[in-house]
Amino acid sequence: MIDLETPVADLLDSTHGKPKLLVVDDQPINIQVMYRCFAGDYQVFMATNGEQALALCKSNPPDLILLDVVMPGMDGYEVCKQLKSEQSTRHIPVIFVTAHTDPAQETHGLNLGAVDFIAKPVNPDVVRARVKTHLTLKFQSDLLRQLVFLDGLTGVFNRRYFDQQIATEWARAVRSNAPLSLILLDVDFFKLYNDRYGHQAGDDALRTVAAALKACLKRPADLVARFGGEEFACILPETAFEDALVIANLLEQKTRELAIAHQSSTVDSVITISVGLATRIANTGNDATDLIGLADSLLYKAKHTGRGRVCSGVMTPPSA
Amino acid sequence: MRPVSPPPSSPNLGAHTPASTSLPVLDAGSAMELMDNSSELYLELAKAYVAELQQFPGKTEAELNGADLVQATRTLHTFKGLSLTLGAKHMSEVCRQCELRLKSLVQAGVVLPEGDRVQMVGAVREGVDLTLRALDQTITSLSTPLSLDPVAAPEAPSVDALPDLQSLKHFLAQSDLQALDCFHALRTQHTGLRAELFALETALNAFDFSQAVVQCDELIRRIGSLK
Repeated sequence: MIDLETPVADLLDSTHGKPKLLVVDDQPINIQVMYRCFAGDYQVFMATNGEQALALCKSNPPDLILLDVVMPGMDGYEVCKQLKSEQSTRHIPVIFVTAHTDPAQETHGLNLGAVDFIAKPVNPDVVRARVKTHLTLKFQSDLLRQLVFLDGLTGVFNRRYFDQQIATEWARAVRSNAPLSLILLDVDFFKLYNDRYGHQAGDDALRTVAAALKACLKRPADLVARFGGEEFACILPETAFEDALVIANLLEQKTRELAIAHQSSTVDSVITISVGLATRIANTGNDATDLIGLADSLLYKAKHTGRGRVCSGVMTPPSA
Repeated sequence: MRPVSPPPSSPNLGAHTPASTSLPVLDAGSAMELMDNSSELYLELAKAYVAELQQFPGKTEAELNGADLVQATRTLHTFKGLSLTLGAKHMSEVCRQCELRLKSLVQAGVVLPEGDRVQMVGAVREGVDLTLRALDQTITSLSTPLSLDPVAAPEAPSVDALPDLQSLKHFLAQSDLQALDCFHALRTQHTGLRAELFALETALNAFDFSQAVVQCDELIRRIGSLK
């Protein structure tokens, strides 16, 4: 049940700061009214036309959009339609704020995926309450979505999300003719670690390693997932082989620097990882499983050539 | 604040064109209620609305004369909403009736009859005149009288303003509306800068943040050279 007494800022944890609202309206007066209405509890951004709104949603996605319908050029309905057709923006709730009072217009807006329709002039108390309700619902659905795709032990993405994303990124790489790199890695002698230090320590070690891996990836599109037991995967979209190799070596180095004692390892006295890096370049491979296969074989090579190292390769084009 | 009513002589413009309304010309009180009773905000927005309203009859007439009924409908729709926001209920109703009439013509694919065009233009002009007069009174009554204290000599622009200008630029580049408060603080705290802020303020008032970033950069360069 939604508790409307909860302060808005508490709907998000402190790392996120104030929720972000985007006000889209071609009239500065209307933007001003909305800003004064929300400035206390929210970070408010603005766009004065549809194109600007779509660009902002990509560069700095808001938590909710207050969208005018009638604007010069692209109207609010078209903006909503485009937002809902994009994977990265479809989850952003849209509230139409308009001087239209026609039920047919309202129905059309809701059918396009908007969550609400508010008539101008807005009553500040009503619009604040509605925004808060929709944000609460949005944060709850975000959380559910995250729980479905997060690994319960380590907090990084799970295998299900990895499978979904690698297919998406492969398709994107083919479409845009961009490189795609994949890293598969395995904690060395992890069974021996569990045998020596116990499963609780093993879980702690996996959590620590996962956090270190995550910290090495700086770009929003890069992701770490738990691939299986003590195996992790990193998807690096639009990353050339040379750049991915730098990251792969960094992952190996940072894991070693965690200095988690592992007296049963024959590689080092601390936990290490074996890493396989594969990069797809233009016109190579049939689908994502080819990339996963290459990364897996390179990981196997790293494990069989001494562990605690990176083995890497680029997919080769089919011979003529 | 007591609503200002339209004069009894408002003409009836017929079944399809804007009729005189019994709505008040201006109900600033109810509009202010929708702005959390901030007379300061109402005053600021009313001034911006007056500037828009002065252009409105010419714009509408040009669109109707050019037979661009779709664009004219959009313009009337925009002013319907804006007018309601400011409590200009009579103006909003005039716009609503014109918008409805134009929409029905557009849907039917019929050209605007000359009689309707003349009546619409007349109704818009009359509504604008009434609204501007009522707003003028309201703005005067809400404005703080000028201080009779001796005016201090303006300070020279100072490099102290640079960090605030950098913050402003950051907000503008992000399309973050904190830019408005940041600009207000800049004006208040760095009085020596006021004369330099005209172009930046113009861009901000139009919510053209891209242009405001350019102006902000220019100011940062100029003020920075004072070091």
